[in-house]
Amino acid sequence: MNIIEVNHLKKYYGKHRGVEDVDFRIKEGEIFGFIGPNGAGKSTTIRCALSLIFPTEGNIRIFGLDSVKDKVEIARHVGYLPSEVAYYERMKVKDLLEYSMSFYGETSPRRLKYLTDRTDLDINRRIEDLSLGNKKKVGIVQGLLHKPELIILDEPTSGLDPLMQQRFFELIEEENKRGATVLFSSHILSEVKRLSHRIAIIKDGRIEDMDQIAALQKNHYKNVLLSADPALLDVFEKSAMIEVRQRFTDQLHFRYRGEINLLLKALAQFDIHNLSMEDPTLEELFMDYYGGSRNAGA
Amino acid sequence: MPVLKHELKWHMRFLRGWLIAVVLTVALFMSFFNAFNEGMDQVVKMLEGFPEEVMRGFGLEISSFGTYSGFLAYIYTFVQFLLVIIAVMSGMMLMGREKISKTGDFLFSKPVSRSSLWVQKNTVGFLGILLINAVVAAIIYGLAVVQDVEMEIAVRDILFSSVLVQLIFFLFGGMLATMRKRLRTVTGTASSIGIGFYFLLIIGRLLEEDKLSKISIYGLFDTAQVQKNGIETVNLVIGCVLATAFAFIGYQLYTKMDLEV
Repeated sequence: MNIIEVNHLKKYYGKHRGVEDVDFRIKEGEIFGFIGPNGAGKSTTIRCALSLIFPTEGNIRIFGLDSVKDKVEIARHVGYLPSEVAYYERMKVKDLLEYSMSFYGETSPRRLKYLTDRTDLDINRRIEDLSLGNKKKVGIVQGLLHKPELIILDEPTSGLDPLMQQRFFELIEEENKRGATVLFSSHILSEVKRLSHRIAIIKDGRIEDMDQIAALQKNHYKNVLLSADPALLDVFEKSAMIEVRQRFTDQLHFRYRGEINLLLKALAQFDIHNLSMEDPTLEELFMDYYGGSRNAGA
Repeated sequence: MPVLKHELKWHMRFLRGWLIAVVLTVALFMSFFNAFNEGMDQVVKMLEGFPEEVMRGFGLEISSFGTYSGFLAYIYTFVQFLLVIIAVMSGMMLMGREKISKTGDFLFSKPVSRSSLWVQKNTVGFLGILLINAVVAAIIYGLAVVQDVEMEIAVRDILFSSVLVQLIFFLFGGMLATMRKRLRTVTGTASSIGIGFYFLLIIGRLLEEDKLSKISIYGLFDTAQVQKNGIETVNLVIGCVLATAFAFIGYQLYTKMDLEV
C-alpha cells in the first residue's frame, strides 16, 4: 500500500520555481530518503504534502486522502520535524509539548518520559533559553509524541551533535520497526545511506532518479582502475567509451557507463597487469548528479 | 479548542498592561467631570476663546460639554484612539503570531483546519475587545453613580459605537497581518494606522469634509456626532459592510496563503 503518492507536483512562487514535476510513491513501512542540494525542491515537496503551501499543479495523496482537502484527517497521523525549528519563545518545553499533544486528544506521560529521556531534553526550561540543538530535540519529541504513522523529517539532524544524531537515527529506526513510514530529506549523504530503504534524487525541481541505494550505485557508472603498458594506455585513454579521471604512467583511472561485457571485450586486446572495478559511492553519485558531469563519458 | 485556550492565555497577558493604561486614563478624566461641571462658566468662557477650527478639530461642543455624555464624547475621542491602536495590534498579533514567531510550521501542521484557526483566533480577539470595553463601561457607569450624575442614553451609544470602531480596526489589522509575507513587530504599524486614521478624522473635521471623516473609520461613529444624534443607520451599515469585507478578505487570505519558511 502506498502511504504517499506525489502526482506530477508543480509549485511556483510567482515566477520562481519551487518544483517542476515531482512524481513518486512511498510504500507503507518504508524509510524514504529525499536527496538534493539547497533549492532543489525537497522542502517545497514536503511543505506541499503538509499543506503548508499549496500546489500549483498536481496533487499529493497521503493514506489515500487528498493532502489539501483532507489535511486535518491526515495531520492526525503525521509527525513533522521542520528544518528550521521555532516555537513560542516564552513557553516552557513542558507546556509546548502539552499544547502539541492537545491537538491529538490524548496524552501519554509514559511516551513523553520515554522520548525526553532518549533525547536528554529538560522539559522545565523555557524555549528562549534553549540552544538550536535543544530546540531540535523539542521538535523531535513533539513530532513523535503522538505515535505517528507517517514521520516527515526535513533535514532533521542539522544542529544536533554526533551523539544525538546517533540516538536520533536509532529512534527513527525504532519508530520504523513499530510500523511508521518515514520520509526524510537531507543533503547529508551518510545519514541517507544509513537510514533509507529507497532514495529519490531531486534536481532543479524534478526527480532525477529513484531506487534502492545499492541499485542506484549498480546501475550507474563503474570506477575502473586499469594497470597496463603505458603505450597501450595512451591508446585506450582516447577511447570514447570511457571518462578518464586520472592518468598515471602505467595506470588509468576512468569511469565506465554501459555493458560491462563490452568493456571487457575492448580490454581483451591489451596486455593488462591489473584491473579493479567498483560501484560509485553515494557521494560520487551525488556529485555526478549535481556536478554536471553526468552526460560525459560513454 | 486548544488554539482558543492557548491564544486566550497569551492575549490576556498582552492586554493586561494596555487594560491598566486605558482604565487609568478613563478613570482619571471621567472623575474630573464634577469639578469641570462646577466651574463650567469658566470652562465655556475659555473654550469660546479657542479658534473655531481648534474646536472643530478636537470635536469640542460647548453646548454639550456640561453633560456627562458630552464630556465623555470629548474624552472618548482620545480613549478611542488608544483603543483602536490596541485593536489593530490585537488583530495583527493574533493573525500574524506565526509569522512573528515563525511557528507556522508547528501550528499549521497540526490536525486543525485553517478555517478553525481563523475562527478561534478571531474569537479571542473579540473576547479581548469585549473585555476591555466591559471594564471601561463599568468604570464610566460606576463613576457616574459615584459623582451622582444623570446617565443618558448617549453614553451607551458612544460606548457601543466605539466597540464597532475597534472591531473594524481589529479585522483590518488581522487582514493586514495575513497579507504581509513577513512580520517582525506590530506596535509600529498599529500606531501608524491608529494615528494616520485619526489625522484623517481631524482633517475631515477641520475641512468639514464628511466623506474624509468617514474614510477615517473613526468618523463613522464620531463621538461628538453620536452624542448629539445617536448612531446613524447609514454609518452603522457602512461599518458593518467594512467589518464584513475585512473579515472576508482576511479569511480568504488566511485559508489560502502559502506559509513562508
